[in-house]
Amino acid sequence: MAVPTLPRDERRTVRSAFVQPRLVVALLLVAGAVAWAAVRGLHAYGLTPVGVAYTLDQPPVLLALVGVWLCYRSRAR
Amino acid sequence: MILPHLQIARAHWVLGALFLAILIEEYVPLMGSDGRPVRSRSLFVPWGLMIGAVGVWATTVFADVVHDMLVHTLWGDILFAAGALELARRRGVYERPWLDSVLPLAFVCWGSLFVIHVVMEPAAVGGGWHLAMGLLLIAGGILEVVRLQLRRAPRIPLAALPLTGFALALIVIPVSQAT
Repeated sequence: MAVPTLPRDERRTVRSAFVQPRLVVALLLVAGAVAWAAVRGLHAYGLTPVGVAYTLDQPPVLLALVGVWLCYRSRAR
Repeated sequence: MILPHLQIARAHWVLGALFLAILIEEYVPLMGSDGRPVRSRSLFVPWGLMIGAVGVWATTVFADVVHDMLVHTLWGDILFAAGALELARRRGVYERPWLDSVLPLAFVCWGSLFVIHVVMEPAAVGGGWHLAMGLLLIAGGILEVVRLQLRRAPRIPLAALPLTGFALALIVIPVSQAT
């Protein structure tokens, strides 16, 4: 019995919806950031402008921010 | 005014994250709805390069070693020039075939400055890391120059690997220096 298959163009669309290289990289970055934060720990420097800047300027947080930004940039256009 | 190690590390972390975002934006393609890779050509890349240049130039103010001042100034110059040319191209005001080579050559020049940095002060802390980072940049630039000559280029440029390694090193190594 023949297995039904999608037309070539539709296969491409489905594949591109699931395998977006940027999304893969973004998820790797976020996973790495979470692992790094779990191992190294994060510090909170308070709610003053400098404190917020210091809190965000920690390697795991920066990696996660790049990952989240990349998720946003990987949406189909 | 001389900054303590932790503040220097913080500046490197931000620049490393910015560079990582620039590299991914430029070299990891977006898959279009037809399944074909699309390069973004977004304005984030040139602006990111120029903002990074300002950050690197700031070292000239805070550094306490003359060759650090010189090398960081030249890094900033290269970043700014590359950013300005890319900005002109992406805005459509200046389009020449040789502009394809701007980013790869900027990486090679930037990496060469890392090597020069080590040659000027071989006994400096992290000399080996500086050398490795310089070589990663040079390798990324050369791989990208080679890719430009190929008719059928790979979907994700090979240069993305050493360049991403450089960006991650820029984030990770100051952590070990600061702690």
